[in-house]
Amino acid sequence: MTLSSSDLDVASWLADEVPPDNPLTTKEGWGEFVRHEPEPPVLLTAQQLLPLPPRQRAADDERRRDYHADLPLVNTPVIKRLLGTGRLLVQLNRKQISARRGAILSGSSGTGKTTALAQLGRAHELAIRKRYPRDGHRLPVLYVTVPPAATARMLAVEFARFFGLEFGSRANLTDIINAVCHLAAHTHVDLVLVDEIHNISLATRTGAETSDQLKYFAERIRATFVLAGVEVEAQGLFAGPRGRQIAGRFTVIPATQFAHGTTAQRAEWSALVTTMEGMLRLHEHAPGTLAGMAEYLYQRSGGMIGSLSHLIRGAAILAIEDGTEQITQDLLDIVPLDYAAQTSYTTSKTRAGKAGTRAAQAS
Amino acid sequence: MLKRLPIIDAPATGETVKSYLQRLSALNAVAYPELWTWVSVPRVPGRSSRVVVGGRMAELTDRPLTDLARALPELSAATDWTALRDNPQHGCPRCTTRRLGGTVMRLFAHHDYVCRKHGYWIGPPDICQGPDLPALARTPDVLAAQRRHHQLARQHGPLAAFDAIVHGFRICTVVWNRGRTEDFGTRIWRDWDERLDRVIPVFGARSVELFSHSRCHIPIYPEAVAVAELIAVPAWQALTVYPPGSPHRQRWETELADRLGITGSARFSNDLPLLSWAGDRAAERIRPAHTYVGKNLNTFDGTRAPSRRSQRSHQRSADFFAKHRNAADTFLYFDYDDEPDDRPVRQQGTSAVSQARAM
Repeated sequence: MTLSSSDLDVASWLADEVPPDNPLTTKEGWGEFVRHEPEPPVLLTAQQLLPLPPRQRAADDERRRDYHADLPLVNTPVIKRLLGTGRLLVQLNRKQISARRGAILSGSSGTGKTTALAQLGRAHELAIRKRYPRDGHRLPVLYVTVPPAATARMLAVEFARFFGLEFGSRANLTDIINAVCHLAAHTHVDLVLVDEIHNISLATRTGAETSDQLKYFAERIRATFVLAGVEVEAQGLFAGPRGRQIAGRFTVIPATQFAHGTTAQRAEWSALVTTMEGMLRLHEHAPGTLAGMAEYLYQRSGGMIGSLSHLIRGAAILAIEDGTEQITQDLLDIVPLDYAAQTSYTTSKTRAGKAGTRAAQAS
Repeated sequence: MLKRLPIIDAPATGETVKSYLQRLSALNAVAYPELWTWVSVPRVPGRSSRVVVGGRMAELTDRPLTDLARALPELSAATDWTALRDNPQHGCPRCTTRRLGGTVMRLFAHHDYVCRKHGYWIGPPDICQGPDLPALARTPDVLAAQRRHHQLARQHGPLAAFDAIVHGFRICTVVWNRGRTEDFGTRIWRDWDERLDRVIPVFGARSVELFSHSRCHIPIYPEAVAVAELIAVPAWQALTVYPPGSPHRQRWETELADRLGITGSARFSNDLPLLSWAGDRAAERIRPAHTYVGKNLNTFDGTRAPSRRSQRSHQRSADFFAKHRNAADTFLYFDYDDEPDDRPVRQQGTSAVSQARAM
């Protein structure tokens, strides 16, 4: 979606250059993420490239490398489902005084949970900014990450940090909470995204207090809470009385890797690869090349959207750097992947090798 | 590096840093002391007294430091503290109506007594002065006097204007205080009483509530400015150095008498020592005793609450005023020890007050 100028007609500070140390969990970093829209560079033809001096050619290559490093997002089924659920929940919760419903995105790592969560927030924020273009104080989305070994105070400080409030160690927890709730109300926060909730362990007292703190925020802040974490069901999030309450209020959206068993699953995977291939800006890359390597790409990535994206983007950058301007299997082989994907690929290769050997022996 | 606060408002011109931070603290639900420690550093390491850091204010508010320094005198190195009052005051409610987060406290110049745009009395700083400033719709001459006062400050400088207006208030106060019992050849004090009744109603409890020394300046302000013009203007001031009775001095005293509505033979200082006293005092130079920064140097945040002594004194004045309606007698700002203690011969023994004083 291309951002129009009205979408960006917000407080001037959002349009200012963001200083360093502004991750997604600060309003400045979040604002930068929302307004960031990678524009595909124009792919120059051979005739257009020929007269260009080396410096301009290098600049063009640099632009394309940057673009491929930041390839636009593909709407995966998880993202689509989360966007639909999230939008409905925000509508349903708008007039609720309490007992608002939420959603939990749960799955193993590399399945795109954080990406999906961020996309939900971005879509919501853009919609709200279009509706209220002149309200410079509005912060529709609050994004926080639960820190490791989180305590109730640490969680409250994370919420405050999003707003830019850096409380000292002597600040009272009640003051921090009151400040967060006051600001959430006055800046019209209506969607709160909490990532890494697997860092809250209900089995420990500290974790239980942190969970209570989160629930307290959910009661005081009139917003829809969407949480994300690694395999939260297995972590015991729904166990015990607290867990039962969470289970009674939150919809679980599973984030799993893509499957490749049935025809429909293969078609879905192939469509995903084709969509990503369509975004590439390489001079010599023939359309359909990656679609033809769908099986290989599945084995390499283990069906993980994160690994697939890394593989294709890495190969594209290597193709620009070595001048071949096309992605081949050899180039894909060079791209290093995460341990899980690599292990999965090695195992599947070994299995395929053993199956081939048995077939050869049988014949 | 500080992050910008989520809800920001612009500072008002002449606003104090404390007032601005208090408004930001109300908007963002952060306790004021916490906010103050974010934007300040200890004046001396290890001490509690702190001083604001302009750069941090700029980061917190996401406004250029130059813009903040234009509005907040404490952030500007070019601020002439002798030209500003030593206490912040509530700004005109209509000038600051768009400011969010609470009332605005400003540092006004010594010659700012009235908001000419909206017709509110600002006056000199006063203890217990609240945000409800008196409107001057029924006293248009006070508005006109402020315009002349500003002109005086522009032409002769803020300190000369301060000196002149203090003299003006002193002289008028003496006339007001003693005019009802002694014959100064003018009934102007009646006009002042009527003006006072308009700004502080007569009825007991309300008059205690509304009493302030600042409001008591309203009735005499126009005449005080008229007298101030005689003192600030060098050509007039030069006449006061001549001895009493000399033609130059008499010219000054006659002009003073005109401005105070003194008629008849009382216009001549032989019959009215007030004029002679005024001429003698006019040669003295009065300067502000304190500056805002000098007064609040070793405090936590550069401000100081009114002392209990001054609050008690104010309450006593309010009670006295409610009983006697003698505003001039309650003025605390000016030193009245040097009132003229010569009485016109024909006035001696004509009032209990002068008899008591003669004893």
